[in-house]
Amino acid sequence: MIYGKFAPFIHTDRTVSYMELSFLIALLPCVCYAIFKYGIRALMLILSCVLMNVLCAMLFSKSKKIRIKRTYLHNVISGVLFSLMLPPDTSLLIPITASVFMTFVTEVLFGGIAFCQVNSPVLARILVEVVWGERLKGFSEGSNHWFAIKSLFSFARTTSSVASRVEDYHTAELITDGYPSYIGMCSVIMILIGTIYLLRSRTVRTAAPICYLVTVIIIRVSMHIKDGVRSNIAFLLISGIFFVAFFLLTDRATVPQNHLGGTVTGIICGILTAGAFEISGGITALCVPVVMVNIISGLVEYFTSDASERHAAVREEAQ
Amino acid sequence: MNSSQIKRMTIEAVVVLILSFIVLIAGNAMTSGQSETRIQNGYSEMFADVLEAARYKEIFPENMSDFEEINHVYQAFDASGKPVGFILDITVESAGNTSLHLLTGVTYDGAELTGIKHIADESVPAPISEEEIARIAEQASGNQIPMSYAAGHFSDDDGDGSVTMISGLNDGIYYAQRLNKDNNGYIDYVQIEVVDGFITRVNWDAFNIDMNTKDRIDASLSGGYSVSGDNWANQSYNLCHALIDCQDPSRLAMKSDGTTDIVPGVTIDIRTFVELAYECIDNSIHGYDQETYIEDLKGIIQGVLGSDPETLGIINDEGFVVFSFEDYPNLFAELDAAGNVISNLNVREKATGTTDDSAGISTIEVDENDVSNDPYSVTVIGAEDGVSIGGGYDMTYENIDGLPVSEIRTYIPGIPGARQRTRCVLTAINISYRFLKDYLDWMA
Amino acid sequence: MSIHDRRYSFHQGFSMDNALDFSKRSSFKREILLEKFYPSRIILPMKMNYGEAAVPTVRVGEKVTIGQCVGAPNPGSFAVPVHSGISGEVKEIRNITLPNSVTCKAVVIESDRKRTYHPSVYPRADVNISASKVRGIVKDAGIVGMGGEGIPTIAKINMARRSGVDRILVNCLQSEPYANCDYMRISESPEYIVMGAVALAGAVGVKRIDFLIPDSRKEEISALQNAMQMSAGDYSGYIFNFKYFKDRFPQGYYALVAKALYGVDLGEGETLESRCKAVMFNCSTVYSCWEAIADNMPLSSRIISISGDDEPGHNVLVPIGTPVSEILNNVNSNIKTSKKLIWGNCLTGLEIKDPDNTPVIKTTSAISVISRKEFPTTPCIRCFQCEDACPMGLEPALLHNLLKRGLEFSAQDEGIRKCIACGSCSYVCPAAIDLTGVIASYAQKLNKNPEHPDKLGFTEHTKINIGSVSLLETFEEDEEYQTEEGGDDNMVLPFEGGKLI
Repeated sequence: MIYGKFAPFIHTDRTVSYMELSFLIALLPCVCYAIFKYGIRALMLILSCVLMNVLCAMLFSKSKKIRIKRTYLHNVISGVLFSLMLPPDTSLLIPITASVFMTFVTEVLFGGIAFCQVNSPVLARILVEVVWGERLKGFSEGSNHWFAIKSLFSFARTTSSVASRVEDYHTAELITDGYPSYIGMCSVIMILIGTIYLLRSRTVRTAAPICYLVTVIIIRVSMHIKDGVRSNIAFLLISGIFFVAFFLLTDRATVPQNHLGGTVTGIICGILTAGAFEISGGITALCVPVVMVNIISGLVEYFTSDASERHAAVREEAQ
Repeated sequence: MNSSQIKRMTIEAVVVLILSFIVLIAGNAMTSGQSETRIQNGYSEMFADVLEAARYKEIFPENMSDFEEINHVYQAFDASGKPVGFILDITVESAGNTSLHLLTGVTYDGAELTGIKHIADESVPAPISEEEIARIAEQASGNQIPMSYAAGHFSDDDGDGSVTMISGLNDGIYYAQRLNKDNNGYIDYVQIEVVDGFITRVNWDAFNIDMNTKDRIDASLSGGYSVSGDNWANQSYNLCHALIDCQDPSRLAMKSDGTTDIVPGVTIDIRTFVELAYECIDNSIHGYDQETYIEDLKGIIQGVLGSDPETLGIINDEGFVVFSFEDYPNLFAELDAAGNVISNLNVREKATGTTDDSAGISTIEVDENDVSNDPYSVTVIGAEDGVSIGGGYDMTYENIDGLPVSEIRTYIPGIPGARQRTRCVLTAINISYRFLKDYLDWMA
Repeated sequence: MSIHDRRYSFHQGFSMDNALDFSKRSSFKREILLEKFYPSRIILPMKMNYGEAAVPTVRVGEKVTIGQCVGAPNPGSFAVPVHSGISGEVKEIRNITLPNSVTCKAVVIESDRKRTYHPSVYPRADVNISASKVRGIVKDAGIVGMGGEGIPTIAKINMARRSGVDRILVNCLQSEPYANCDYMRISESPEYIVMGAVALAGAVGVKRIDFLIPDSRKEEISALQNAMQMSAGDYSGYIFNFKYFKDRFPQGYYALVAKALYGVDLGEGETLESRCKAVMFNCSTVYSCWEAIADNMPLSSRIISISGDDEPGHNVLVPIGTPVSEILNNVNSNIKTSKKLIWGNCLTGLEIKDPDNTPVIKTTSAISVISRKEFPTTPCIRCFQCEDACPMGLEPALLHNLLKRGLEFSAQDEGIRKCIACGSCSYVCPAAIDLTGVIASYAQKLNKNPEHPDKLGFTEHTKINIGSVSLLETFEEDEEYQTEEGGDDNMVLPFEGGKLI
C-alpha cells in the first residue's frame, strides 16, 4: 500500500525531558546525602552550581540567538554533578567560575550546549582541581556543622582533610554513612538508590558502568591483595568509582551507547582509573580517565558498531 | 511531558527523597555506635593533653557567634556522665599573617585552666614555637582564669633582652595597711601576691572605720566616693596593674606631689599605694605574709586596748582589722636613746622588734633567652635602684583582652622577653574565659 | 503453555525496556465485548487488496442483498471480488480516494434496513470438499490477508503450493497498540479458525498447522485448544502445534516471524514460502475462509477495534465499507472530534481526514482515536534506542542523518531498503525525531519497481454483467475454476519487496 503521511501517531513518554528528569531524580539521594551530611554549605554549593549553570546557558543561548526550544534540565544536571564532586568546604567562587567555564568553554569547544562531546562537569572539575587544588582540600573541620557557612565565603588555602583516617571507620559506617570527602560521591548506598531508580526508569545503558566497575575492582584487588579485605572494601566504598560508573559513564552523549562500545569504554576507563589510583588518587584519578574515554568515544563507537563492518565490506566490494 | 507524567515524576521524586532520608537516618542510627566510638577515640586523642575525660561532646552554644575566634566548643564528661569541663577550639590571629590555633581546656565552673594544646597547621604559620607553648602550658595549667602576663612591659625588641624582678621576694600573699584613717575614715591597704619571685597580683583598696560604709572601690563604683579623673576603682586597678607590669614601685615614677605621669588614667595621689607596696615587698622579702601581719596587728591592738579585737568587733567581713592608731601616735615610733622619734616602725618591725637597715630593695635582670635555665633562679646582676629607671612603666591598655584588670585571677611569667608570643596564648585563654563566663551566665 | 515451551521473538538479546510490548498498554478494559453494528450506508471501494481493482457489477438504483457480489475482477486481472455487507439500494458509483492514496471506484449502497441475505448464503450441508474447491471458494469469496497485507489469499495458497511448503502458520500475533480484533475473533469463534486452518492446510496440501500466538494470551490459547478437541472428529491426519511468542511489536510481520521461528534473515526477494517452506495466514483470514466454506458467506464484514490512548476499547463487527464516522457515532463511546483518527493502528496507520467518506476496508483492523499531542523535537541525543527498536536491525539515527545530509548512496549501503515502516524508531525516539517519515518514504521510493510503475492503479471498466449472483454460486457450478493459469502467475507484489506470486 502507498503510505500518505507516515505513522506513528503515538510516541513513547520517554522523551529527552523524561530522561533528564529521571537522571535528576536519580541524583537526589546524593544531594540528600550531601545536605544531610554537610548541611547548608552543601546546599548552597549545589544551588549556586545549578543557578550559575542555567544562567550561563541562558546567556549563551541569548548571545548566540539559539532558538532551540529546550528546557535547561541538562544544565541543572551538569550543575548538580559538578557540585557533588566538590569537597564541602569550598568557596562559592569556585562553582561560579566553573559554571562559566562549563558553559562558555567546554560546551562551546566540544560540541555546543547540551550535546557536548566531553562530560563538561568532569572537565570543569579537573580544571578547578588544577587551578585551585590547594583550595579544594575540603573537609577542613573536625566534624560536621549543619549551619557552618563560613567556608563558602573564604577562598583561603586549606590543609588536607582532617577527617579521621579511613582505618578508624567501621565498614558499616562507610556503607551507610560514607566517608567525609566530596559531598556526593562517597556514599555508596545513596549512589545505589539513585542507580536503582535510574535503571528502573530504563533510560541508561549498563554496559559501560558495569565493565568499568568490574575492571577497576579486578585490577585494584589483584594489585592490593596483600592489603587485606578491609582495605580493598574501603577503597570500593569511598573512592567514588560508583559515582563515576553510574552518573558519569551513563551519559549518552559522551559514552558509546552500543553494547560493545560501552563495554570497551568501560574497560578502558577502568584500566586508566585503576592505574591513576596507583599514581595519585582523589578526584584526578576519577575524572581524567573519564575525559580521556570521552575524547576517544567517537572512534570506539565507530569501530564497535556494525557500520564499520559494513563500510569495510563496501570497500572490499569496491576493490 | 504531559501533566500526568510530571505528576508521576514528582511523586517518584518525593518517594526517592523520602527513601533517601529514611536510609540516611536509619543508617546513621545503625552505625551511631561505631561512629560515636570513632569520634570519641578521635576526641580522646586530640583532647587528652587538654582535659582528661571519659567522653566529649561537641556543643553549639548560641553565644558562639559573638566570638569569632572560637571554632568549636566541646563539653567533657567523666565516666559517670557528669560534666567536668569545656574544651574550646580557638584560632587567634596575630601579627605578620600568623595565627595560633589552640585547644584550651577549662573546668566546668569556668574557673580553672586545665591545659592548652597547639594544633599545628602547615599552611598558616604559628607565631610561637611548640616549645614555648609547652612552657606556657606548664605555667598556666591548673591556674585560675583569666590570666595575664606578669612580667614588666617589654617589647620583644627591648634591646638588652632582660626583664626586671625584685630580688629576694618570697612567694605568697603579702599585706600592708595604713595605721591611721584618712579624712574620710578610710584605712588603705595593699595586697600583693608573689609567684616564682614575681609580683603577679596587686590589690589596693581601703575599708572604712565605720564598718557600715562600703569599701572604697565599691563606694567609688556606686558613686559614694569620687575623685578627679576616672573613678577611684579604675585608677586603683590601673595602678595595681602597672605595678605588676613594672614589678618595682620605684619605676612608677611618683613625683614629689604624689602623682605619676606615666600610668595613664591615674591622677590620684599614689603615695599611700607606693608606701604600702614597699611595705608589702618588704614583708615579702622577710617572708612576713598576710596572715602573720594581721595576727600581729591584732596582738598589737590587744596590747594597747587590753582586749581581743574580735571581741571588740573591729574585724570586718574580709578579716581585716578596722582600727586607726591616731590616738596612739607614738606607738609605732622608734625612739633613740634620748627619747626622740627617729623613725616610724611598721607592723612587722613593731611586732618582731627587728628593724631593717637596708635602704631599699634591689632588682635583678633575667636573661629572657636563657630558657634552658630556670628563669627564676635569681642572679643579682642589677644594682640598687631607688628611683625610676629607664623605660619606666608604659601603660598601653586599660583592660586585658576585653577584661577589666581586676578580673585577672592569675599572672604568669610567660616566656620572658617574648611578650607578644605569650600574649597570643593568653588571649586565647582569656577568650575561653570570656566565652564561658558568657555561656555559663547564659545557661543560668 | 508450559515453562518448557520456547518463547520466540525476533528481538535477540537482552532488553531492559521492551518499549514495544503493547500487550499491557491496551485500552481494552474487558476484552470479551463485541458490538455489532448495521450501518445506514456503506462505501465499497473496488480495490481493497494488493493488485488491481475489481469492476462494479451493479448499477446505480439496483437492489443488492447481503453477500451479493458488487465488484468482480476483470478477467485476467489480479483483483478480488467485492461483496455487499448490507441489503439495500446502490445509490451511486463514484471515485473515492482512500487515506492510503488509492483512488478507485466505489459502490455506495444505502441500507433498506431489511437485512436480506442473498439466496446463495446458506450453511453448506457437506463441508467435505476437495482442495481445489476450497481454493475456488477462497478466491470467489474475495478473501485477502486481513492482517493488513491485503494479498489475495488465493494467490498465497497458489504460491505456497508451488513452493512446496510443509506447513501453514496461523498468525495470531497481533502486537499493535490499542488493537485486539484478532484476539476477539479467536475468542468468539475459535472453532471456525481451527476448521479454516484445516481447510487452508488442505488447500495448500500440507498436514501441519502451527498457531503462532503470544504466550500471554492464555484465554485465546485455551479457546483454540478446546476448539481443536471439540472438532477433532471432523478431520484426520492434521497436526496442530502452538508456537509461543514474546509480545513485541511488530512480531507478526512475515520476515520477523521467519527470524524468530527459523532464525533466518529473509533477503531481498525471499519469502517465508521459498526460504522456510511455510505459508502464513492471519487468523481473521482463516476465519473468513471457513465462513465462506461453511456458511457460503463471502468476506463482507469484519471485526475492527475502535480504541485509542484514552478511549475505552471497542471491538465492533461491521460490514466492509462502513464509513468511519458512522461507526464512531454509534459505538458506545463519546469520541471527541478534536482527536486524531487513524485508519489502522497508531504505529503504522494513516490519518483519516474525511471520516464521512472513509470506509472500513478488508484490511482495516482498527480505527485509532489519538489525542493530539505534540512532542517537542530536540536534536539527536545519541541514545541508540532507535537502533534497539528497529526490528530490521537498521540504524535509523544514522540513516536519518545520512539522508538529511543528502548521502543517499551511503544510506543504501546501510540497508535502508529493508525498512518496513513499522514506526518503532519514531515511537521510541526520546528526541521525537521523525525517523520513520524520512527513512520509510525514501525506502518506499527505492522499492518501487521501475518496470511496473503502477501496479496499484485503477483499471477503468464500466461493468461486468454477470447478474445478481454471489461468486460462490458460480464457482460451485464450475469445479475447475481457473486458478493456475501460467500467464498470470508471475506478478509482483510491490509491498513484499518484489515477492513473486
